[in-house]
Amino acid sequence: MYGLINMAIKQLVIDHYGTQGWQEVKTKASVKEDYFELLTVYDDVITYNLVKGASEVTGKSPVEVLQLFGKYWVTYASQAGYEPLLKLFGPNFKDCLVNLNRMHEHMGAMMPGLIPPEFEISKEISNTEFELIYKSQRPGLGPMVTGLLEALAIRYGITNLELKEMSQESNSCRFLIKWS
Amino acid sequence: MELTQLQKTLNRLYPFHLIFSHGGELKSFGRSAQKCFTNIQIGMLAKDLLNPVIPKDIDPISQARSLTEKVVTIESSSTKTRLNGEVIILDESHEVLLALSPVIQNLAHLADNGLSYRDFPAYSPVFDFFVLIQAERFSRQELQKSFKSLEELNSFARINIEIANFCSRTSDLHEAVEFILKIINSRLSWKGSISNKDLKNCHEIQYSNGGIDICLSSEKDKYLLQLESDQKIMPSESLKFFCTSLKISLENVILRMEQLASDQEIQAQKVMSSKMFSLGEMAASIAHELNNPMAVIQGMAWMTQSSAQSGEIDSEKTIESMTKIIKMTERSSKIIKGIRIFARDAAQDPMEPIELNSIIEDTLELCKWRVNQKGIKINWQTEDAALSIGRSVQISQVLLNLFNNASDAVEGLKDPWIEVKLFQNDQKWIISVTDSGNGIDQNISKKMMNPFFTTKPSGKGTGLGLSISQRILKDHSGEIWYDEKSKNTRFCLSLPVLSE
Repeated sequence: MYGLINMAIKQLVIDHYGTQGWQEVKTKASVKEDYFELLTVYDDVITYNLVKGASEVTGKSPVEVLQLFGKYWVTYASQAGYEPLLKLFGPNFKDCLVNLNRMHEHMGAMMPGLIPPEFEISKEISNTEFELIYKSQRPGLGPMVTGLLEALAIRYGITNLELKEMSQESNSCRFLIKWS
Repeated sequence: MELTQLQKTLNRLYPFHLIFSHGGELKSFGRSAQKCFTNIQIGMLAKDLLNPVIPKDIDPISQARSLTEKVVTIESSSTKTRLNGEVIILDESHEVLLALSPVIQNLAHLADNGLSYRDFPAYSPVFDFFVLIQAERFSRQELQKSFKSLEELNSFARINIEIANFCSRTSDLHEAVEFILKIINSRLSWKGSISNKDLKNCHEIQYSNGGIDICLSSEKDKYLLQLESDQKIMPSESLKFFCTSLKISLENVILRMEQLASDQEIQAQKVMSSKMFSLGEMAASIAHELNNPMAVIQGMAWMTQSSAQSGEIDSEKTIESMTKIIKMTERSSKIIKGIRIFARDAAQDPMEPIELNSIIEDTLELCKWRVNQKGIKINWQTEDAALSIGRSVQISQVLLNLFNNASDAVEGLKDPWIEVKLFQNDQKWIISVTDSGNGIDQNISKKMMNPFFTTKPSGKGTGLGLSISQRILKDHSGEIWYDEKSKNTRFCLSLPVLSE
C-alpha cells in the first residue's frame, strides 16, 4: 500500500485521539515508522496492522475503523492537496463513480505499485438508483468502500443516500445505491 | 460526420487538440477542447480563439514554420485556461496541428469548466506531474511542520530550562511565580497584561496567554497549581510540553517548600529530643536537688510538730524552722521552675534582652549535684550586667550541653575541674567552658559539630548536642567553637552585646 494511505490513517487517529493515541496505535500495531513517504510502497501488513491497532486503541471494531477511514479518506485527500484531482471526478455523484476507474488508471500510470480496485455500474435502474460492484485484490476492505461512498455522496450534496450491501465476499462487494 | 483515422487517433492521444488551416481558420478540434474553448466553432480564426503566451507575440499558426522551438503555451480567450503542447505541420494538407494539454498549474480550474478524468487521454503526464509535485509539496509541509514544532519545542524548552534553573535556586514560590511571569511575558505575546504585585496578600492568581491557563491558589500554606491549555487555540504538542514542564518546575518549588517546612519540623523535634535527653541525664541530679530541701522541710516540720505536742513551743525556734522551710520551698520551686522552662519548646519564644550571669548560674544549679558527685570542682568567673538578646531557655540548653560534656569528659581524671568564664570581647560576650582534659583529637574535633556524631557509649548521647548548639547560636547571631589553642579542652560561645 502506498505511504499516502498510512499517512491518512495516522492523521485520522491524531485528529480523534491526538499524538498520544497515534503512539498507542503504533505500539499495538508494532509499527516503528512515524512518517510514510507518500509515493513509496509499504507492505500491506503495515496498513492492516494499523487498522487492527486503531481498533484496539479506540475500542471500535476493525469494520468500523475501516468505514471511518473510508469516510475520512476523501477529506484527507482534499486537505493533502489533491482537491483538484477530486474535482475531476465530474459534476455529479454518478459521474464520480464512473470516473473512479479512470482516476485509478491515471494514478496507476505513475504509481507502478498501485493495485487499484475496480468499480463497475452493473445495473442502472435510473440516474439515481443503480448497482455498483467493487472488486479488489486486497481482501476485507469492503467496509472502507462503504465509508468512501458515503463521503463522496456528501461531497455532491447527497444527504439521503441509501447504501445497501447486496452481497459481500472477501474481495468484492455489490452495493445497491439510491438517493433522491 | 465520420471521423478519420487520424482524428480518432488524435482524439485518443490529444483530446484537447486544435487543427488550423495555414490561413489560421479552425478546421477541427479534439473531443475535450470545447471544455477549454467554450466559444469554439469550426471556421473561427485562431486569434479569436486563443492568445499566444510562449513565445509571446508570435502567432503559432501563421508563423508555425518559422518557430525554432515547436513547443508553445497558449491561453484560451474564453476560459483563460492555459494549455501547452507541440506545433506540428501536417505534411499533406499543410494544416497546423496544436497537440495541446492543459498546463498542470491550471488543473484546479479545469473542473470548473466541467472537465473530468474521461476528458483526458488514458495516459496523461499532467497527472504524473501533479501527483509528483503534490507529494513533494506535502512532504515539504510535513517537514516544515516538524521544524516549526521543533522550533516551538526548543523555544519552550529554553524557557523551561530558565525557569527550572531559577526554581532550583529558590524556595520561595512567590519569587518563582514572579520570575515565571517575567520570562513568559518577555517571550510570548500576551493578549493582556497581568500583575501579581498583591500576590503575597491574595489567595489566588489566575492568568492566561495564548491558550495557557494558569491558576495558582494557596490555602493554609498549601499551594495548588493548575495548568490548562485550550487546544482549540493552540493544539500544538509543544504547548502541552510547555505546560507540563512548567507545572513540573512549579511543583518542584512547592515540593521544596514542603520539604523545607518538614525539615524545620524535624529540626524542632531534634532540639526537643536532645533537650529531653539532657534532662534525662540530669534526672538523678534533679532528684537529689529536690530531695535535700524536702529532707530539711520534713525535719523542721517534725521538730515543730513535736514541740507543739509537748506543749513547749519555743517561738524563736519555731520562727527559725519556718524560715528554713520557706527558704527550702523557694529553692525547690526554683528548681522545678528551671526544669519546666528548660523542658518547654522555646523555638517560638521572642528574642528578648537576657542576662547571661543568671542564665549561667541557673544552669550550673541544675547540674551542680551531678558535678559534685563526680568530685569535679567548678570555678566560675563572671562579669556584672552581661546583657545580650535571645532566648534564655535555648542559651541554657547550650550551656547545659557544654557542662554535661565537660563533666563526662573529666570523670575519673585526677583532680577534675571545670572553669566557666564570661567576658566581653569587642561587641561580643564570650562564654568559655574549659575542663581539665587535654583537648580533643583533631580527627574527632573536625567531625564533632556534625549531627549524630558522638564519642560517648551507645545510649549515653544523641550526638546532636553540638550541632543543635551551633544552630541555636546561629539564630542568635552568635557562634560556638572549639578552641584548639587552649592547653586544656575548651569550648567557647559568643553572643552579641546588648547596650543598656
